[in-house]
Amino acid sequence: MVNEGPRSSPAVLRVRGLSKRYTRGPLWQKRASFVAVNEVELEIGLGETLALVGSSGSGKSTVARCIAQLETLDSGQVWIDDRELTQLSARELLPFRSMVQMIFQDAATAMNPRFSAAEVIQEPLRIQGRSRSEQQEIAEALMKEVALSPDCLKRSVLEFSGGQKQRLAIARALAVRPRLLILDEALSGLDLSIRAQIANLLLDLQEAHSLAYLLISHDLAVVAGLADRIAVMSQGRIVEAGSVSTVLREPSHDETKKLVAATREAESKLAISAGASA
Amino acid sequence: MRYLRRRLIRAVLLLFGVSMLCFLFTEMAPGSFFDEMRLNPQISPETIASLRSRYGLDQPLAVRYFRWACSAAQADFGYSIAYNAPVAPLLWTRAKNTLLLNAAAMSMTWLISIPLGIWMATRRRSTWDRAMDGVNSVLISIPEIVIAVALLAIAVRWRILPVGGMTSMDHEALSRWERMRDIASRMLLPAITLTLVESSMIVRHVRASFLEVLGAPFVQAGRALGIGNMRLLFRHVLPAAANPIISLFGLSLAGLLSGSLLIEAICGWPGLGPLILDATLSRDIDLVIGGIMLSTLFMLGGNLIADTLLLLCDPRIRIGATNES
Repeated sequence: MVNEGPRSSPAVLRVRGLSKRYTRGPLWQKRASFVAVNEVELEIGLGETLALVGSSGSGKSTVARCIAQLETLDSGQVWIDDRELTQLSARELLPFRSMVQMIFQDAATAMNPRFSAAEVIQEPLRIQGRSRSEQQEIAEALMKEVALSPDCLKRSVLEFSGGQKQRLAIARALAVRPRLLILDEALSGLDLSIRAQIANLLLDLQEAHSLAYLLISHDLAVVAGLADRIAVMSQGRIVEAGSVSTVLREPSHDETKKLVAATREAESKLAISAGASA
Repeated sequence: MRYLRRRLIRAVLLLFGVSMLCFLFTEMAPGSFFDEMRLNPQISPETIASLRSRYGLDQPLAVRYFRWACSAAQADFGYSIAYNAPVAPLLWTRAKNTLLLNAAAMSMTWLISIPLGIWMATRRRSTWDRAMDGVNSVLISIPEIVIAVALLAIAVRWRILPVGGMTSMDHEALSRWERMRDIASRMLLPAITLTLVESSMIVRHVRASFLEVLGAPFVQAGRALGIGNMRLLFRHVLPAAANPIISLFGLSLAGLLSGSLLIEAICGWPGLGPLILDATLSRDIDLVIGGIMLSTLFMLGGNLIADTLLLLCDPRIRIGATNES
């Protein structure tokens, strides 16, 4: 296990020995197997943000999907608070699923295009057996909390802009009072000002609800702004972990060095082009 | 409403276009109803000429089209030379049988295809999914005529089902319930053939539509929210996967009259199939054109119903239609 550095708060998420492999190929041939995630160990505390970074195909999203129980693990355990999720059957898992929620990169495809904003937020509440008046009340409160007007509840999700859709997705996730939010490239694809607004919103919500965040991103600038600790993944393994400032300032693994160098290069290009246009 | 009105106007224009093309192509096709009479030495050329004149076949194309259009406006759709009767009542008598057969086949097809397609999609790459996919591939690759003949042979060899015609000889003497059973038992063979042919294709479409949506992030988000499998499938996935299925349903409706012509001829079902086949071979032009127009009408109706369903089910299309109008 790679040392992730100190963590002061009690653990909301504990992942031990998580492994996931995929097999591909036709039934009549020897099927190729590839390891997507190999013996990953993580912990995230109350109100804490852990960033999981790495290049494409390093296994970040597979880890996230395994934690959210959207993929079956080959081996390993996932605890939320003191509840071990991987031992539960599909039926037993249903009431505990709300503890981990995911915010996806493309908010447009993360919501049913047939639904109104009200249906998007109220659907999980209906599953929990809330009354109609409660559903309406909670939906209005959540809309206010993510800085959307409750008057927009009747609008189709298609009528919202990219940033508004992401706020709506956050409101839906909050509706079930999760313990952990997985932000799977949730800020990618948004323009800079909207990205900053959503990042601030996430920080406010984290403080208000003591949420734990697992931030998956390839953008180290976003990571530096939001995360407390960082874990770097390469070829399905965590190769380096620690506090954000330490890892970004003194990267020790080649993968981390590559990511930091790429970010610096992009920043310097941006500075040069900004200077040229000025 | 404006969107639907525009679709209706387009449909009427299309009907005009199809009728004109029908007349043009039948004019270009060689031979006529009276060609066989010319080979008979007992019928004089004058008699044939007077018959041609009587049925207006000696008139220019434009005049014939105008006369046909007037007849269509009176719901007669021309005059059959072979049956010496207006086309519409002839078509309607047979169309009822075709509609009965195709409605039964279509109901069976959709009742089987949707659950089977969904079941296969939810068990993607499992042994059952692969086995059903293999059966579908075999059914798609076999021509419907072969399936019909094979089922016909099985039914005759083992006397499982009565074959040929729509009713038995003593049909009139039977009670009401027995008459219905008599028709149903004779309809079963062509209906099963049509169901096998159609469902193998529709199951694949339903499976593909569901698979596309099952992988969407909103389904994963729904699963993460704790929404149960059945609710997720029918409340979330089905509406999102419905568009191609609704379009396909529209095509099924469109094929209600034309989809079974060959099967009817093979199984001896007294529908439009044998009538149109005879009319084509004998060059009974008005009857052929009437058959084509009726099929076109069903095609347009099927598409209109599919468009209306899409408009009702998909807010994206509603928004697009509102913006267009």
